[in-house]
Amino acid sequence: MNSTSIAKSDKIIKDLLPKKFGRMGTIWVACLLLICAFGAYAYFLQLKDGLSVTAMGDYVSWGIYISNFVFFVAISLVGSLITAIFRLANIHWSTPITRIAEIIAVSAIFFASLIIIVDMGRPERLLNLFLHPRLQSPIVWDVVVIGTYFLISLLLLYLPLLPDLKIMIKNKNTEPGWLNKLYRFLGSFWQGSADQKKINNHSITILSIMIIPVAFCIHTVTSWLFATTYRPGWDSTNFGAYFVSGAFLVGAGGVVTAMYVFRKVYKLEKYITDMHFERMGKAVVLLAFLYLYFNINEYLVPAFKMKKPEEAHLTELFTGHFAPMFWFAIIVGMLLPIAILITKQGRKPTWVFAAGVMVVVGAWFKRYLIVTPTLLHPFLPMQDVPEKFMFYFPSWQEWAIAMGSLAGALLVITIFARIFPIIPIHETITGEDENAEQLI
Amino acid sequence: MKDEKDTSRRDFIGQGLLTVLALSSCGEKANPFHPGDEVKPSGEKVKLLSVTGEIIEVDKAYLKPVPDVPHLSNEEERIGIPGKKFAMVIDLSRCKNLKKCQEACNHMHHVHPGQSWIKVYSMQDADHSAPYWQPTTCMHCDEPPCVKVCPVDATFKRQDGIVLIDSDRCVGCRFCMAACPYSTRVFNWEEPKIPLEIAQQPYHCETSVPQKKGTVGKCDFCPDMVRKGELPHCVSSCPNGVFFFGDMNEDSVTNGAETFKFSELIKDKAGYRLMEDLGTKPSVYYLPPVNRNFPYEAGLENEAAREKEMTKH
Amino acid sequence: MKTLNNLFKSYLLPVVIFAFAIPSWAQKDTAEVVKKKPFLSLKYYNIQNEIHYLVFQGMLKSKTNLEPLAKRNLTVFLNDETEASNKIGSFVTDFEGRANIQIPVAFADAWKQSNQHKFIAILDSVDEMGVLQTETEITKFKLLLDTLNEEDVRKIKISCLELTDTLWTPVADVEVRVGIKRLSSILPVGEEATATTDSSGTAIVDFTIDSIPGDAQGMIFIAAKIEDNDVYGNLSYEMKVPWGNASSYTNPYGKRSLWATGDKVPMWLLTLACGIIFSVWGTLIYLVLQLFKVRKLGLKA
Repeated sequence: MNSTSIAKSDKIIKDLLPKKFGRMGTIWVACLLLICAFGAYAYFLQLKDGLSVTAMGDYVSWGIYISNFVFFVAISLVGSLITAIFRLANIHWSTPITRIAEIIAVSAIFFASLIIIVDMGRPERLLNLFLHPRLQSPIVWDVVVIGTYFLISLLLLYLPLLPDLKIMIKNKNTEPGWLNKLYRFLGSFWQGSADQKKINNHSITILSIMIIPVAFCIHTVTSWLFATTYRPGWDSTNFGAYFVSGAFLVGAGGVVTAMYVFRKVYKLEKYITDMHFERMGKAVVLLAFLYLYFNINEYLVPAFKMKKPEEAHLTELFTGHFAPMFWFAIIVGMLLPIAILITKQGRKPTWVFAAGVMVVVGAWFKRYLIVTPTLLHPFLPMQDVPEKFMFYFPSWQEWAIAMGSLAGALLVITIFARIFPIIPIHETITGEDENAEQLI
Repeated sequence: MKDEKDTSRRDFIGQGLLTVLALSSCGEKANPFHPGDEVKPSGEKVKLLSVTGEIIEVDKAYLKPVPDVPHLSNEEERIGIPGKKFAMVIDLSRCKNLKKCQEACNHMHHVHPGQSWIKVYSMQDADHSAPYWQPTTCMHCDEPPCVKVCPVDATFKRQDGIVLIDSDRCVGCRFCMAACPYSTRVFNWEEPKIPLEIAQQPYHCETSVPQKKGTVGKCDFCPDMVRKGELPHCVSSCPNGVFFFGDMNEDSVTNGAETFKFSELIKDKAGYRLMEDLGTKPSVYYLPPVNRNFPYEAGLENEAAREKEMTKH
Repeated sequence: MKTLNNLFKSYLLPVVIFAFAIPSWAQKDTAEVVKKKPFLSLKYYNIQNEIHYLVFQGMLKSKTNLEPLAKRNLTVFLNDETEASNKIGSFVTDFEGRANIQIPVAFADAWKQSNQHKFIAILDSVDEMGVLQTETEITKFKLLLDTLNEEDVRKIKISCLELTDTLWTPVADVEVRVGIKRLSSILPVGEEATATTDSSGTAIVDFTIDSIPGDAQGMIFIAAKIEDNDVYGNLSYEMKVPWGNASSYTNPYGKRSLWATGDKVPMWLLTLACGIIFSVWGTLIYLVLQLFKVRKLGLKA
């Protein structure tokens, strides 16, 4: 390397090293902590009094905890998309956003597990799942795939981080002592030697290959929690593909949102460029079209037949009680983002960010629509039960806990960005070198 | 499977018969109450005064009325009663929406107030078909969707056909509730409001008492009653004899007062099962509401009377 | 005067009327106090002409519900409640208001002395109802079953005999429920569920059921039951006959299936799941080991 590239790499390092929280950052973290604390308090109440603090009843026995769970699992698929699929397809422009994608994936899948434990009536009996498992149960399949995906995502986060840890250990003067200790603990053994690099890159490639089928499994198995029942709206052969395509969409939406925020806050315009938004915008459009296609299949086909149990359910969604939410999810979650991102102007960073936020919000409501309306249309009439079981609107405790879990996921991502470089430093430098070599 | 179980039964009966014959001259009796019953002798003998004034010795386990049997282990409760396949027949032409079945079941199982394991639905299959009252228990399906999805074996199908819940194992995931198409399961969303002495009793799957917070509950076909040779509480509490209960292997069902051959009853009255095409293979048969004893409106009057009672208190 | 009159009419009269109305309201309340009537029964059971016992049941019946006389002290006497030597025993009713009474061995002689006996059950006084008492009288009775095969028609013969002096004499007009013993019930074998004995103390019932499952050898139990007879109590008798079909019962329990217990996973699912899990986790373990190798390489240098 000549002197200009040393200076260049120093500049890159200086730009990409994790920075302390400014005023906005501190306020953001404080707000998240507050929401998390409130959620924890609500959970304490739930542990004390039982699940009756929620608005769930014998009919709507799954509420926003489960729809939150599905949402988290969905968003976690982004890791496999950006990191694995793009990497294997030799797409290099996505390198700056791979770590954002991975930390979203790890954080989301971790909180997915947490929210499932929150939903359990007897969380202290969690060990029963490992002492007396039934391999015939889709929940056991879900636990296995989630555990597997978590480990793979963690490794895909950690292994590419090793070269960056070396850089950060070298640049220790800006960080407090305990952080430096953490870096040394995690990566002091990394020398960047040829054989280390060979093994590491080989491992990353294997992980990238493995994560794709596991990612497909994770959301297919989650969809089977619903599709293995008889209920209208859930008894669909389409569910696996429908869920996976939705997951890719919301994951992509999450990534564009995060990359815009990080770009703005850490002034990373040179690394997350307009080109990245242009390309991710195209990816989101493609995925939105795909998800729209599956939605049409999922709703139009049963609506054509209007079988008795589905008739009431679909009418509720299209024109009834859930219609506002349904059309909101379709329009704001899919149609508007498509309309925005299909134009060149619409693929400017701010517009892409707006579309990303719309996708994510629409997706949250879509997951709610998958879980609750079906439960309000059982085969046998809703009679002979307490009045409050016949409808569902989450209680404040449920909202607190759900929002707490979302805040927790965001908190993990934020703290990660504080501790580790959110854009891979080493890969950026080597990427620049490759570009420079190509120019020569 | 015609294997060890059958031979052991054969052996026992043979043994029992021989014992009765050999010992009929002596004072000791194998099981003088029900010579074929397979109650295991406890070994403890009790001296009794016979009808003829003689003093005879009988094993304590054979005493009638059945003294409180010692509770079974969890493993035995999971396996169930051998040689039986319980079924229920509900005669819809007799149901008047009195809900005595619901009352008895809720009371005897100490179900949390407000929830019920038996629900009596007002049904009308189509716009022009007749409305009727349908008491709905757990169907104890032969291919139970709830058992298929339970992750921890907290609900299980026994060899006597009963699908039971182990409230000590249940983790409260409520997948079984989502999977059941008959909406028969209820969940203990809070600590069940039951008397303290009931709540402190040791729990047994066969009695389903006491119910526990954060776990699922449902109709259990009262296996504790059946082991004593009695009928489930809903069957004995219905004043109109709507519920028939029996063993399909015996081909006989009874509502306490009347007993019918099960196969004939279903054939003659065109019995059917709920949601047959879902393939769950329920154990509860319904007899269609023809030649009704009471008009449907009688059930509405009963409903109104109940509501008046409720508001009075 | 006029004003006083007006005053009375406008104010006091309504008050007086109101005042008179109050007692009638109060009376309405007290009239609503639920009237409970005690309902006691003492039943004698005779099983297989061998074992006998009594069952006491105590309830309080009001218009709306039935309350069992639970946890009450009960004393039972034979023939005469004034003599302490006639006390059969002291019992406590259970939560359903029931108590099972066995006649002690010591009463063998007293029992053999007569063919008619009276049992008296006395419930201790606890509330304003005072001492409650009920009794039942029984005459010694024998219920027998036999089978006949006339003109290829199977028949069941029921014999009812009562003990007069030392002889067993037939009893007519006794209603007996007869059929095949089933779970907690008797399946009728003829047109009627019950048969009544004629002057010779017997009743014959045709066994018209052509196909009924029995046990593995095709054995069934025919049962006869006399329920709540005023003179003789409750009697039951059973007899084993080979008139059933050999049962072809197959136990589905223990087979591998999707609804079986966790240890009975279908083989296809087990192989598929284990195959996937072992291959994926095997690779993951290999990768973690590779990571340790990288670590070792770095520490060596």
